[in-house]
Amino acid sequence: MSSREAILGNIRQNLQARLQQREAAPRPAGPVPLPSLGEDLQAALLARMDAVQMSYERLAGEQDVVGAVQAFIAARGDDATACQIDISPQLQALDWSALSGAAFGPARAGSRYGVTRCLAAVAETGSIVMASGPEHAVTQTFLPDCHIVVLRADQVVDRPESVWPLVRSLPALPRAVNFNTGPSRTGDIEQTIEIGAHGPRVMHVLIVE
Amino acid sequence: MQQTSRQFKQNASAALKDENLAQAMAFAKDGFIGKRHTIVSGIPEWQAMRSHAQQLKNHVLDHLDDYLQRYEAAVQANGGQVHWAKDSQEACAIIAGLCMKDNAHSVAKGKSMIGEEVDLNEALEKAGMEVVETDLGEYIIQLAGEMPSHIIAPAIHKTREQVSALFHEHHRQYGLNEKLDDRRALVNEARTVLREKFLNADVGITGANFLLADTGQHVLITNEGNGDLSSNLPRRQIVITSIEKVLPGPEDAALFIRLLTASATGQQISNYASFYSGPRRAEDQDGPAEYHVVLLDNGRSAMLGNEFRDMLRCFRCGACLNHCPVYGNIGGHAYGWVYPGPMGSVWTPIMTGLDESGDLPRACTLNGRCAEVCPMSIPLPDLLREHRRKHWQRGLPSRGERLATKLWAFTAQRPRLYRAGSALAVRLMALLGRRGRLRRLPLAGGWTGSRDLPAPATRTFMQAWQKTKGERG
Ligand code: SF4
Repeated sequence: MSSREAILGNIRQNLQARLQQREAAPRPAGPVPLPSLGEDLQAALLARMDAVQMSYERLAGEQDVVGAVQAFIAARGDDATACQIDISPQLQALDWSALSGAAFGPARAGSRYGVTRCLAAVAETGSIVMASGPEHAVTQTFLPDCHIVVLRADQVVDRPESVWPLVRSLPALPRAVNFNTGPSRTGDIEQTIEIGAHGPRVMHVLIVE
Repeated sequence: MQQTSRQFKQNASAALKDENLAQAMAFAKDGFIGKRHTIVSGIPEWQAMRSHAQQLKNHVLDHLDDYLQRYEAAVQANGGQVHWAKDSQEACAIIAGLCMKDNAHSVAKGKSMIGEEVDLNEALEKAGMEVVETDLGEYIIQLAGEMPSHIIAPAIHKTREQVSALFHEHHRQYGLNEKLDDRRALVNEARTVLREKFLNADVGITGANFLLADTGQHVLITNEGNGDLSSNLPRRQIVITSIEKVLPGPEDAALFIRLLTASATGQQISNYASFYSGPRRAEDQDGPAEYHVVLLDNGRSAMLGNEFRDMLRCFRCGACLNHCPVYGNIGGHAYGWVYPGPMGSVWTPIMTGLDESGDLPRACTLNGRCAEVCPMSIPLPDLLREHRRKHWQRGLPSRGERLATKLWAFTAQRPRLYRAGSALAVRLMALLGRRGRLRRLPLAGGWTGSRDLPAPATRTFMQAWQKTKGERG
């Protein structure tokens, strides 16, 4: 007998013995009771992003994205023409010629900035949600020192549950769906939080109205 | 790694004298308990969320064969493979086999308690693989050659000075010679060393917090992002997990993640909550070419039919450890195996036998805090009592202990004798006690050899009760 059959057989046998004494537990009915979020989802989202050390700025339109990325890099004291910037193909339609260090495609080792779009942002948790696919590489959000995300204001959803209908509407189940909530951190030395363990040290959101 | 649960009493005495441990555990206590309290007290629906999760998990466990088969079919539909392992040996053999295919030799591993349970690293190293733990806490204890002492904070017992010394000793081989003292500098140095390991690893191994039957996804909850680098950079991905981790779908996972991260670290969600399924798709830009899940049983299927079934709801948040006065004083290593604290005192005897670890459930004070904070409403004290009952039935306690318990039972059934006896004992003990503590008690060396006993009040409860009644008239 294969281990698969042995394990499933053992499960059935033990369940049977058990379920002779009582009914199998039904799936709980009704929605899960959850704390309320208030009316203004965007306000809730911004408050959560503050709480997890994400930074953000509001832009009037897509035309301001490249300029905002450029300014952000300069403000961090980096030279946008010399440092390694990896831009997701999702953003290829914009004119990136001002940033000569930029390349399109998955992030490379030594990446300083990764710039991507996202699928949604979750007001309850402050999470940015991304789905892998032909135009989005997962490593783009984990390898670079700084992750810059472009979020459209209409992509804000209330709760993590609400992300899944969006995922199901994609052509196929993506290999990866990532909820990223602030810069990488660890508490493994003296139980004291330090930012920048393995993932990005900075997570910056450009909210496009 | 060698189990030492048999020497629990000696381990515990040594732990209580360890100043580094006391210093490290002091940091831990306030952090975890305070953060959990802040978030949980702000959620009026907490109890309702808890009971919903408990019901849902009971439902899944009652149909576990169905859910596992649905999960397996969904993984296969995504292009992944599922491997079933009855026990630790089989799990290690499967994974070693997968690792060694086409001359792979390096593994970047994310933290996995199931990996610890089956002692995976040792098996892989024997098979000639280079295995690097990439979670900072796991990395620290790997360098130290130790077991984790906490299920979510494996190096909780180490002070910064100890970490500094370990890095200084082990990072020289990479040309990093400076002895660092600052926390941030230590984190950065580990990041630099481990980044190279990620980029060069052939195989990525991680655990899974949940498995989803509807979609065939596994959910990975981390704060560092190491598990995600392990899941995306190497060309072969292996997930080591166990059969009780399955849930229906991603919407259900949302509830469980809330309960898990609030209870574990006081976070609303971890930094990274990632849902992975199968290998890279044809059009994808990155991701592994192969995706394997190893599903471990190791005695879990038998628990479905016995009195320990409730323990299968445990999702390893660590709250019961953080709130346990015994764990807080002796740390995790004293328990002698990979699962410490209240949850470990239930799991360890199930998996390794009461002969080996019968002292664990007996160290519990039955104060009940663990059950109060457990987000999955697991009746830990009841399960510990169940172990004690079995321990007694099997005649494992010492003869002296059995005699004393029988003597107590005899007098307890005879009220006048009991009252006279306890009044005498109370007077005697009051004479022996110093500053409210009894360090030694005649005939009870087995107890006071490894603990102090609070000196009792100078009157028995019955005497005090009579007196109060008399005063109130
Ligand atoms: S027993 Fe409960 S509190 Fe303890 S680790 Fe498991 S789920 Fe968490």
